[in-house]
Amino acid sequence: MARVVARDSRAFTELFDEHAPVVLGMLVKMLRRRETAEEVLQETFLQAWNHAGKFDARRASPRGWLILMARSRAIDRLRSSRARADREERKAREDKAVMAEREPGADVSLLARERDLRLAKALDTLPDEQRTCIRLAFLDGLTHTELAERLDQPLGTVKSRISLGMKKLRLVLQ
Amino acid sequence: MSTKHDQRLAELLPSYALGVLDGEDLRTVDDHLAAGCATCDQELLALSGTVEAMAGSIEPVAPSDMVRARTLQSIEKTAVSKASAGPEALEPSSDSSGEPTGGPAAGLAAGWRAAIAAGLILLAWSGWSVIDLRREVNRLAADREGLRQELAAVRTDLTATRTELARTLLASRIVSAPRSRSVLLAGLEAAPESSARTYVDPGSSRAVFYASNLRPLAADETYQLWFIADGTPVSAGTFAVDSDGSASVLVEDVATFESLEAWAVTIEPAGGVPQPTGDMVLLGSVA
Ligand SMILES: [Zn+2]
Repeated sequence: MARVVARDSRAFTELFDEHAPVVLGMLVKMLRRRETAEEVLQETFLQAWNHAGKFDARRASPRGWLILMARSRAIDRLRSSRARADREERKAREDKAVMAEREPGADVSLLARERDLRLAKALDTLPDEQRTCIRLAFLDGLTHTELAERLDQPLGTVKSRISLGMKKLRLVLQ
Repeated sequence: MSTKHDQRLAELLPSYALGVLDGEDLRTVDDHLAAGCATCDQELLALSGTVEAMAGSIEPVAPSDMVRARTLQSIEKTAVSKASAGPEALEPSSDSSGEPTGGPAAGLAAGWRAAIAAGLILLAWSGWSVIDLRREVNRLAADREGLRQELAAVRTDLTATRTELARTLLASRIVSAPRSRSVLLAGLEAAPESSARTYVDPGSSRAVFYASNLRPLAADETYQLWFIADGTPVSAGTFAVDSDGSASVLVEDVATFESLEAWAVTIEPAGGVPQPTGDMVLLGSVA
């Protein structure tokens, strides 16, 4: 990263080649469209280049930092596209989605179909309500406020479900 | 806006690491981190590792060559040598690194339609001036024009080569046809050194004529080949000679062998004439 801060384009190329596939894999899952995911990937790495000085090794690895930036951009996009969607239609779809989330094993089958068994297994170790929260946050990019609305739960409940779920995932994925 | 570390703050960090914190909670964490908190830094490092592991357990997707090239190209102009070009000032989301706030990046989303347009915007952001871009576009346009002309020249060459090859093949077929007959033409007084031969293939009604040691003519003159059938000269075409004094003519629709009496070459005004008028340089009778 120090070489990227020093504007070494070869170091940047190495950074891209090492981390872009994982970041893009996640972005494709979040945004569903490869074209959009690649746009966000490009924006993310440009941001990393222009703000390499803001990287703080005390808080994240280079990959963790790239993932967070990519997630923030993807979440912005998901939110603005959700805002554009027709409200009535959205409501109907969300109701269905929430119903689906409440069915046991729903996320597992969705993820297993997409061959991401490790994540599916890790999520499967969580209680249903934590798994639903984390899945909606991690893959659909729903913010706290959106989660509280969609799940019809107080903000405090959402916070603690995510917090508890992440603690458990940390142990499972280590 | 307290910067004191407490349990309420610690509970927000997992969502912060996921990038899904919003509103007042996001500002609280940002302020707290900005003030500096070793406990939170350590906690975030661990949480970031968890998010990394979650992302890492998704099937990776290799970026297309195009997006890789575009990304690497977009930073090239601000690499080492142009570090002071000021992309920071041009980068629209200069203060949103990491924060999941609806910053300028969200507003820009609408403009990011065509991939090519995106590439141009990135180039502009990364310190390319409009003049640089215009120069690059002009250079590419010139390159393209050059390539287009080269391609046209190659096509012309190829067509000529194909025509020549077809002619040669046809001539060899005429010469080697089973019933082909040849007629020798001798140089007359005007061109005593020269000689020629005509091969006639009655099967295809074609003939091929080869001459050697003919002198080059002035621009307003031409050689013209004739066959005489039933007492009448019929033009078989005009021709010029190569630098070594040789020439060849492919003749279509030759008269039947029985009616053919002779072959002759005359010097005529450029473009040729319907009936011979000039000096005869070669003549050969059909035996
Ligand atoms: Zn703290």
